[in-house]
Amino acid sequence: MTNQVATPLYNKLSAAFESRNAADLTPLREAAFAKFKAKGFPSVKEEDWRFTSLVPYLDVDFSVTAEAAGDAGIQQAVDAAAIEGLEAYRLVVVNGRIHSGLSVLPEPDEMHIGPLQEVINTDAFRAHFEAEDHTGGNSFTQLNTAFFTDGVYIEVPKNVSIEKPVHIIHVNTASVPTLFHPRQVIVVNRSAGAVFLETSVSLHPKQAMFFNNVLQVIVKENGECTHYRIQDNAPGERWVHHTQVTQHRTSRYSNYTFSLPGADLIRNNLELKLDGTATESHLYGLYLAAGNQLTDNHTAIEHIHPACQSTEHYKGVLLDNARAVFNGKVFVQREAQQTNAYQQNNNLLISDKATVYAKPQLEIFADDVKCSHGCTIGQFNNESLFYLQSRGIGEESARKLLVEAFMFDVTDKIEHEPIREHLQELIHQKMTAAMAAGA
Amino acid sequence: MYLCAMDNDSDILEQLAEREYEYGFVTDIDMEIVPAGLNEDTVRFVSEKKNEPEWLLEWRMKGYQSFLKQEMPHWQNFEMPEMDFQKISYYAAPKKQAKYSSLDEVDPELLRTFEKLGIPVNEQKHLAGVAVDIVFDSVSVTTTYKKQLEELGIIFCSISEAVQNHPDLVKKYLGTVVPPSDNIFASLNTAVFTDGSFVYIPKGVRCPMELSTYFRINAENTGQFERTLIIADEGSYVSYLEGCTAPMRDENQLHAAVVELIAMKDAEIKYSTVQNWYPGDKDGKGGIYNFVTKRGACRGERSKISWTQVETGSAITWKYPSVLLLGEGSEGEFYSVAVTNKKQIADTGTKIHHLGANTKSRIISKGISAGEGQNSYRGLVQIGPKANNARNFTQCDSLLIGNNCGAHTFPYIESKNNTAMLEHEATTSKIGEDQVFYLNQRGIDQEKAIALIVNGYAKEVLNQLPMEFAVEAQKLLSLTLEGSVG
Repeated sequence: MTNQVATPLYNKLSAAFESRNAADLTPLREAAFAKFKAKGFPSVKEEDWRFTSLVPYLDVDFSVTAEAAGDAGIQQAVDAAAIEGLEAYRLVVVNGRIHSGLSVLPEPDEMHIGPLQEVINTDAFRAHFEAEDHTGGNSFTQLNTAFFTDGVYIEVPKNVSIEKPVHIIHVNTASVPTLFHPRQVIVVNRSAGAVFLETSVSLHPKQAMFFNNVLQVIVKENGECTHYRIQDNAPGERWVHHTQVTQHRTSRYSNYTFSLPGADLIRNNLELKLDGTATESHLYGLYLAAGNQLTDNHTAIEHIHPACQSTEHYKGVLLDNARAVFNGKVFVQREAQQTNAYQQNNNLLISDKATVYAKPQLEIFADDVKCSHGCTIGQFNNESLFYLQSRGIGEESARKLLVEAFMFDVTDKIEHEPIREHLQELIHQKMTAAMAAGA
Repeated sequence: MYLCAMDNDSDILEQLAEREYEYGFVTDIDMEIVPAGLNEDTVRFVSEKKNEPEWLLEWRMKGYQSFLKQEMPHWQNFEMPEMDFQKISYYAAPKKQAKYSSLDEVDPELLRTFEKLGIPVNEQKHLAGVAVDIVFDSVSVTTTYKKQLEELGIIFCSISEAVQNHPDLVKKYLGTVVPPSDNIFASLNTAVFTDGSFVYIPKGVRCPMELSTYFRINAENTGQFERTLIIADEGSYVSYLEGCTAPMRDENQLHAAVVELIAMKDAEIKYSTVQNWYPGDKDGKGGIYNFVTKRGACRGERSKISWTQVETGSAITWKYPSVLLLGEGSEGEFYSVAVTNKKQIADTGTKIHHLGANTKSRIISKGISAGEGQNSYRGLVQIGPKANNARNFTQCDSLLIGNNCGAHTFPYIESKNNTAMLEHEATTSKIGEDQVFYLNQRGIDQEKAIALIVNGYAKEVLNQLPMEFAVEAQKLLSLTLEGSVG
């Protein structure tokens, strides 16, 4: 294969795939890898990667096999990751594997949490797993399907609603640059409800690490799932998240994605397939990017059946040399009458070297719909700034205040008070650090 | 005054005769035609026929060379029809002659359309290719205008004439906005363009009338690969009209025109298009492919370029009139109404590049999809790092009539400057049932009610058209949507 992005890594992966000894899911993995092999890592020639060139992020001699994890330091890291005031279950995942010793889990009849390997050969799981298109257009998903070694499987039984959030803490212990393929599957059964919060921590920050994460969420009839992800990652990390959500009839799904300065690259693919009537979906996103960071959010919502509602609101603030990409796709198929789809994206460019690429996108094939999108790119309102300053608030504080106010539209939507406070605190810290570094 | 390019008078009927009526009209056109096919010799032949200087032939060759190097694009939101560039004849000069002695001989369907558009009888004759009587002497009208323009120093002629009479101007500006290698269709146009318009407005002159191809003599056969070049020198103003509200039937399926606009300091160019080419039959067969490259450059300070388009015809409309805002304080505007009915496809929008400081742009796009039409808005607003205080406002709305059509928006918004302000909003909705009901209640039938609502919806854009055009464009909208409801 010529003209390959990251040829050495590509060759390394090919060799690793040939010599692997995993025996599970072989046909699926082989098909997925064949697809990956044919296309390789996505290049800027692909529309979805137009503004995100992976060349600088893949140009590292990544190890493609994870080293064995010791226990040293994990305990402290996990304790530090806890969110103040949040009463939550704790699921510790070390290098993609569940660490039961440190986890505090709900009762098994409330929620099943276990390794993917355990269920991978059951029919019920296969039905979920294979219903997804593993060999579709996305090279990273294919790569993950081909390579994931173990993952997390969570299933909430029907009619069980757990108020207490499950805090999933991903711990990475690798000390050399590594390419990871973590995988999680969450199934929320009929009329069940659950809340998940994902954060991650690295024991050896400032190392180049590449995470190719795939999460599948299935929310069945009348189920409800709330999903928070806080991306407060360490420098050197590169994340490609693929989140595939399938919603059945009258289900509700809310996604909150918060990307903060730190990681070199954050790419979030969030895809919702509304596979039933009268579903409700909420997508909220915040991205604060600083340094040379590239934050890329791609969301896609597919309305297939009538009377589904989706709202999406992403807000971004860019400092320093940061770049942000936003692409929000909304598809409304012919059958999906009475669709109500709303999308908004607002960007605040604070530094004169920052760049935003926004592309809201609507594709509509039904006529009885209400769809709209709005997108803005701008800067501080000088009048507001002046107003605050005239009341004795210093310029820096005034700017911080305005950024926090700008983000309030989204932070206000967070239902869990401690998570909101935690996030606001994080934003405040990051803004202070970035402004101090910039000054 | 009815404004229209009547370059294809004879073709109008020929098409009609062939396609929808089999009464056996025989169109006997005296043509000088070159065999189908594209190679260096074709390019040389075209150039030689036009008696062009060496530099222009070289420039055409550049276009031909880059045409060979390029592949067909694949990013568009429709399936690209098969196209064989070797099957097109690149040079054909029909000789004009009257086809009919009176209107009675003309196809009644065509007359009915003319009547609905409110076209005066004499012009109907002209459009349909009927021998024009003494009263209506377009040549003398044109001559009067020509004289007036000449007095002001305005050059308005066909581009072949300009090559002969004003070679320096043409050489200086041709291809400076749309280079020969810009895209495959522009390259093709560069290689084989046969004619088009050339306008030069000298410093400080405000063109006293709307310029239109209608007034241009020697305007035959500019259809397929038309090349238009408009230059507005410092402090000048011109409003240019292209196209025609009357149905234009044309046997050339592919239209790959290039339009270049150049506005110097304090100059303003207003370019309006009404396009109503043959959209194909019920199944979308045989319609025109309208693949046009249109771009304007605001070179000087405070210059302004404004595009207004009403697109109702063609099987596929695929174009993005663009503006490069180079001069400080320059301004770009894009107003568009695109209607797709039956199996028509429109993938249109604009590109605005803010390069200079304090530049402003405004985009209003109204898409209307009916029948099985697919309508896409694709736009790019780009703010360069030096475009301080740039300002953009974009609104793109889609209206859906019936549940077999589609509306799509692909706006790209890119900012590299933190002092720029960009706003984009888009909505998609169907025609309000309560509005239709209200009108029905007052005795307005379904079809008229829809037309009324659609016209109201498109008003913001139609208002930008010169007055005579606006009235006709409104009627055209109603006509295009006829039969799409109920």
